[in-house]
Amino acid sequence: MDIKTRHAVTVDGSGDRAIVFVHGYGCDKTMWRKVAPAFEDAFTVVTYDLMGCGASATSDYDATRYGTLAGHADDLVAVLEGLGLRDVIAVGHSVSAMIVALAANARPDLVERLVMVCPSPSYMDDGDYVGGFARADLEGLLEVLDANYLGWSSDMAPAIMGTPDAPEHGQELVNSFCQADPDIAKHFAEVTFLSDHRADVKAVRQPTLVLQCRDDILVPPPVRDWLSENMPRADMVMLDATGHCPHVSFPQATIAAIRAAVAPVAAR
Amino acid sequence: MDDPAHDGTRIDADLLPCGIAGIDGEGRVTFANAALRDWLGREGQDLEGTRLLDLLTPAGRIYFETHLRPLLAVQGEFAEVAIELRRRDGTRIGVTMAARAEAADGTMRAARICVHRNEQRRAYERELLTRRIESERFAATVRSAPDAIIVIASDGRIEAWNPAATALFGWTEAEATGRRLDDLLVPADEPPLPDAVLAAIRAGEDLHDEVERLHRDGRSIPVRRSVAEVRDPVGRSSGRVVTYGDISEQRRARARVDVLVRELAHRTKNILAIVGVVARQTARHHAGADFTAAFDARLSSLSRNQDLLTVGGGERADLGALILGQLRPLDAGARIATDGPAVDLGPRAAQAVGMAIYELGTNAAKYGALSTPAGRLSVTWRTADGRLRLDWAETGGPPVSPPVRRGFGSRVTGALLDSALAGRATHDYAPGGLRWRLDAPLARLAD
Repeated sequence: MDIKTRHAVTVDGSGDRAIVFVHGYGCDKTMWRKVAPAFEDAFTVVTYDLMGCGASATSDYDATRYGTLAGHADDLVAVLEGLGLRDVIAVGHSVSAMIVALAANARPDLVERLVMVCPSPSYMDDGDYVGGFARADLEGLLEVLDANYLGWSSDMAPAIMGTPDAPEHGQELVNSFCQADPDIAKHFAEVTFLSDHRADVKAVRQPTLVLQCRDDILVPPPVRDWLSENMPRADMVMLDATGHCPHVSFPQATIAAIRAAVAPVAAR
Repeated sequence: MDDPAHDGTRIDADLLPCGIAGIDGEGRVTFANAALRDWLGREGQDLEGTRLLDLLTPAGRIYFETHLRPLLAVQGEFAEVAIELRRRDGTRIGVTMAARAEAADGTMRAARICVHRNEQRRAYERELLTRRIESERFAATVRSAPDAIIVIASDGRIEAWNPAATALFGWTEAEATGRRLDDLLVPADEPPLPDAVLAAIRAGEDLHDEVERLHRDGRSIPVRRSVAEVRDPVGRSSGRVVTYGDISEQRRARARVDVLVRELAHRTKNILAIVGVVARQTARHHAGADFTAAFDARLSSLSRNQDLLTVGGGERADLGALILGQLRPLDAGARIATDGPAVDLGPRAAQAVGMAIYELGTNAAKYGALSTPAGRLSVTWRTADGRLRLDWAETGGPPVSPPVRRGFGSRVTGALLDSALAGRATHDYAPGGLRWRLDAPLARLAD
């Protein structure tokens, strides 16, 4: 299977420079639908689904390969190489801010600049480090996923077992948007929330824009402080936005902030 | 009909039995009805301005931010979400939540949330989760079990077939399921289970026995079988679980043990007969303490032969090892040279050759080349044309003359050996030293 099909890659816009948007945990590339098109006038815009999410080839999901974010970073590298792109601007939301950091560290030739949207290098409290969550909280998330898996399975079972294309099923689905295979969603949740990427974040050498929101439950103030201290050369921008998904809830503010940082080279 | 909850145009949310709340675009509560305030332990208080997230557990907050808020923003609603609310005192209350957003310019301005208490469904779901984990554990057990595990429906058709069943019988799961177990695995001539046994299985007794079952290629495999009835919650039979373990290897091992036991009995009798012969022969020429010493030494020689045979698995011995074993007690060191290829000896030949070498060695040490420091012994052998030719050559010892009497030693190194090996042993009492040659067919030696 070619890489574009495997990750449901879409390429829009035109421009010598390319910008790739990588979605975070819990949904898929449609999360970028209010933001990505704004860059099509000046950039080649790439979006894709992380393995196990959205329209990716979930049968390829391998718990060993994706047991760390490095597997997803390898996929990002493969997507960029598959499209023949280099020196791209890599925008990653939430967990994908870590994925773009890993890819940028591994392949500086491919990633010229990073935009991290609401990143946290580690969600778990660890000694002096305050990630905002105790291990039990994060494990509780897996229980919530399990509890909602049951509702999901009763809704999805006919679609999976029978005729997934039948429109009556598609219309009946509750919360069909952003829905993933529950076992994969759980595994990805574990990988996302129980891993620690502080060292990888510190190692980033490329120019980096960090977008943050007020009142982001996943990125409490101590994490923001940690990022400021440990990414001294990054631009920290606090959006006039709340929550964890500014690209969804506050697309205009998000677009403006990214635009300002990635203005065409000639203008800089 | 008048209903105080409904004044004709509006419904009073405080009188409804479900929780109702509104949030603004930033997720802050704009109103909450009495039921919700009550459930959250905030009777008579305002929730307005509180973040909805603060009413959730930490895990619930992550779930809301990563799953539900995006759903509200992009899809405009979500429903049937199981989540826990957190009371001020830290206790939790399980609810089912649905929400619908009001958007303007593609941005959520507000959302309305409905909440139903869900404690019993939560308990049921936890139970289901436990069952799911149990079932996954069970599935892993069946998948990895070394025994073939087959589930058959009441009509005898195969419903489940594990990888070990494929390994044992050659049919894949896809080929086997749906077929009748009798058609697939049971030999045509096997009588049906007696009614009494069938009745016992139906009564819940597990059957354990050994039968033959057919491999896909037609070969019959001895198996250990167990059969257990599966019942639904009201006690009706819903089929059977049949387990088969391959016992071919046990059967072969058991057969090998039987052979060994018979062989051991036979060999014990043989040895006792040999001991009898050795005793009688030794008694002819030795008496008293002399007899004891000579008899003892010959028994040790027999015992060394036995040791070698045991090392070789009780069946075989190598000629070179046998010769060295018999000569080692003479403690002659470098005065003895041996050379020859590996030759495989069966138990009979090993016994006969070993005794001959012992007698020759004892004789050499007492009267022959090994009785003087300058004497040498060379034992060489080669194989050609299906025969062994062994040459025992003593040099540098005292002058040799033919023996005046022929005792046990000459029989063992002569006539007895000839008949045991269908070969020919010759003595040459040359003055320079004894030459003894053995010529025997290899086939007989290996027998």
